[in-house]
Amino acid sequence: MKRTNRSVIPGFGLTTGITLTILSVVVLIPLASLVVFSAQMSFDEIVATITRDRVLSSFRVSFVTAFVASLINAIMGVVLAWVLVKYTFPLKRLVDGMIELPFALPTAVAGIALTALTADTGLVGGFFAKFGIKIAFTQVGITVALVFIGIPFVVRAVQPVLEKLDPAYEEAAGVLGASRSRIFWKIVIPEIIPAALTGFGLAFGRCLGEYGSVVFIAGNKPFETEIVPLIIMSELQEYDYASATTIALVMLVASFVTLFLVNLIQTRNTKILKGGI
Amino acid sequence: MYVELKNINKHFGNFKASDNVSFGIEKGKLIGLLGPSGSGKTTILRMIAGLETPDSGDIIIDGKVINKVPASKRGIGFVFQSYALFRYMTVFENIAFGLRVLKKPNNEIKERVAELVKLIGLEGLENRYPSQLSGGQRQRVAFARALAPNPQLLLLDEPFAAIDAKVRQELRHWLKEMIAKLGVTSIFVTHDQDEAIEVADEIIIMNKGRIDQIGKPLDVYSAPKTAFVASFFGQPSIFRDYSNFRRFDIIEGAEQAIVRPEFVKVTKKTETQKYRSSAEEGIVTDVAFRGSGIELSVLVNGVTLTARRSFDEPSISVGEKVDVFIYRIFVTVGENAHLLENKSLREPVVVI
Amino acid sequence: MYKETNSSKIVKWSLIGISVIFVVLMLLLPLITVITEAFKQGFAVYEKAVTDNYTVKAIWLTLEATALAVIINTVFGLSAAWSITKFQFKGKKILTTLIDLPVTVSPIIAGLIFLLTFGRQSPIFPLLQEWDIKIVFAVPGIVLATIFVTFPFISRELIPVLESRGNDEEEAAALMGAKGWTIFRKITFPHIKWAFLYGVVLCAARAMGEFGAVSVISGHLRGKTNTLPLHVEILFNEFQYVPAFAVASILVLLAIIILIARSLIEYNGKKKV
Repeated sequence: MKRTNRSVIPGFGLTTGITLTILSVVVLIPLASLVVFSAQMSFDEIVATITRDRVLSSFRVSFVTAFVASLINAIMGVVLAWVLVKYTFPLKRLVDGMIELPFALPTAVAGIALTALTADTGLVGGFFAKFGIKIAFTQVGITVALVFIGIPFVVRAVQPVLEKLDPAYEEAAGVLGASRSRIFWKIVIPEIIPAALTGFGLAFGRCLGEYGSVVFIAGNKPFETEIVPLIIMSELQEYDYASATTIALVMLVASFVTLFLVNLIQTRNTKILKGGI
Repeated sequence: MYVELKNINKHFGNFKASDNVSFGIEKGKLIGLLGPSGSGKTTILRMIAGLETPDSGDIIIDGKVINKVPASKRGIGFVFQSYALFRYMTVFENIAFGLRVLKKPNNEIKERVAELVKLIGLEGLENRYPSQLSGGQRQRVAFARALAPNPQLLLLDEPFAAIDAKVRQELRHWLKEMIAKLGVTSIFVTHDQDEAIEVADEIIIMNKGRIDQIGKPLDVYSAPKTAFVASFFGQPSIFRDYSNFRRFDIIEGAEQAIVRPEFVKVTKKTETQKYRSSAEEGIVTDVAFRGSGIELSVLVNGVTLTARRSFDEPSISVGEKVDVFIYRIFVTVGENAHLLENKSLREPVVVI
Repeated sequence: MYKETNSSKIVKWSLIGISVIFVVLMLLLPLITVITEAFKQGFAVYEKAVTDNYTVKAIWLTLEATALAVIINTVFGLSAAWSITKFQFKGKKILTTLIDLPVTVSPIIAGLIFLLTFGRQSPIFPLLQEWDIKIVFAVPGIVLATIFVTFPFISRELIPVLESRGNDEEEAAALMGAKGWTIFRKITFPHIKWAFLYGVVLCAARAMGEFGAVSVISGHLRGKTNTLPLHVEILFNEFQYVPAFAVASILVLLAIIILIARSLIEYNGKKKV
């Protein structure tokens, strides 16, 4: 890497060197080994691996549950952000702090706690069992775990936008005679949507790869509650590294595409907010 | 010449920030580097300081080429546009920083800082943080900090840009006085013509990475050499065709005519006007009160000119027909500017 | 501001109601469950589970891996932030993208790539064996995987703060001849202190709780390569529910400490600026 312009501030060589070294050892070389390893397989092998029924159904389960969970989070995230920014109520600070819990609480702990809660013998599971609804060990259970994991993403994406939303905006529209619901739908919602989409994308990406919280609650029944990370794990336990790597590669591509789309939304959004290029 | 730039070129990507820039500065002078934004003036300053490196050309200070000398060894004090005061250090520590880096003994540092604090008139505020100071006070601290290690050359990047108008006026005088008192060679960058004229001993005018003119403020103002300089100063009215103004020579290839407010004399029909016979008739389209006088917009021969009158003169209202006499016009041909005088000024005056 | 109408009051309180119910159900209840399950059979059983030899070893391993991940990511985060915000160079955009990459990678894949790099099928595996270096199914592997999943946590807190502030102060100090370390310590660090602490806390939180990546690379050797979350898994899968929740309660405690630290840091950081 070459500096395009000399700077008086010292430390370019040292800090860039450290950065590149650690980046290479921790990220680049390991990721490259994934590519190198899968390059040893033929295209037919790869196709055969990922089109196995069990693998295909795990992809379906993963995508559907991640999508539904992120959708729930998108809606609840906007509601939570709205409530936390626009209203005051007792214990608000506590609720605000709690939002961050899924980032702080180890996923395995969340996993066993949610499983205990939603199993037929649990507090919530028992209630629903009366109506013949099962949560733990079904796709509903997986979705619940993924909702837990994804809560902070949308809230933390929307909150700053709502905070910055100039009240003068809403007031101006109010003076012009727009009704409250009209103001909300025409002015507030368009401001929130890009942020909510960003949060949705980030949550979706995280949910696709989530393992710790899901492994306990899923029950891991092939074709029903087996998600992609679980398949990779079970292939590894059978020392079938080739299959594991192939499936991992597809997952990796899926999450990169998600990230790319999120970035696209973000750049478009900052363009609108800041103007200029 | 104490500071000398020879054929300096500098690119940023496709943007040419310095185009073969050469000039010299005498020791002890206060120089204003003047130009519009993007003209490359700050780049020149940063190259002298060593914050940027020229693509080609030599920078010479005190007879030595210093291109390869690291910025910190050039003996230069630099005042940033934003002041760049260390926000987590007190006024005292800010001023002392350069001395501490030089590993000066503590008592010497104390003495020097006290001296500088006194010089900038901030006694008693040594323990304040920059955020607890006014804009003007911060500027003074930045000035003192740059001076602390006794630099041979002081560079100031838009030193007054961040200060409100009233304090700015005051600081300009203060800075000019300070620099004269200390006798340190100084270069400051500004986009404000008034500032350059008021403060600088000599002005260097830059445009599009090139130097257009160098000279004393009055010379640069009254005898612009280039089209750009002619149109940059004053509050010029610029138009293409001046052939309707009868009393001026016609120059081959003239592209623009530039008339400054002080070139225009506007009189009411009832007033006496020395050059009435060669005055043109105009209609007043706007009257605006400026703090120091009245500014008129007058439509003459299809061109709107700006003129000034004092409060003492009889008032003029919008729509009034007036006599307009133009003393001088700058005419530009290509890059060059020519000053044309009204021919009537050379002819014997016929008093009616 | 408008006067609150009756209908807007209804909207307000129903939204607050929905939010509170959601937070209680999804976030608070799981926390409470961990605690109640842990103490289901009384304090003595809890104490036994928590002071069990394997648990104590798991705590130490978790702390070790977390500390190492925080230290390496601190070195990396500070270097990367300095390099990226203080200098102009080609490839900067790619560099920042690469740094952010690990968070988008599924933890399982994060574990897998280290397995492929240092495991039995790796081309360098014979070399590692010859030098008797164990990475996979050993502590170094756990540490590497932990560093990977927390990789950008510190640098991405620092970069925006440094970027928004510009380089004037550093340039001014460098012009006066200050050395790099002096500039960093005296000029730069005071500005990024809170953001840095914030990043450290986030990094520590994720590092101590990492499950998927560590699960792949650790080999689940009880007493050797078992971190706290892995220990929870083993106990749970062995239907030892009370001990599982007892160990989980340690992690809950750590999580609560982290949340409190986080909001204190955030509060202090906002106050200073």
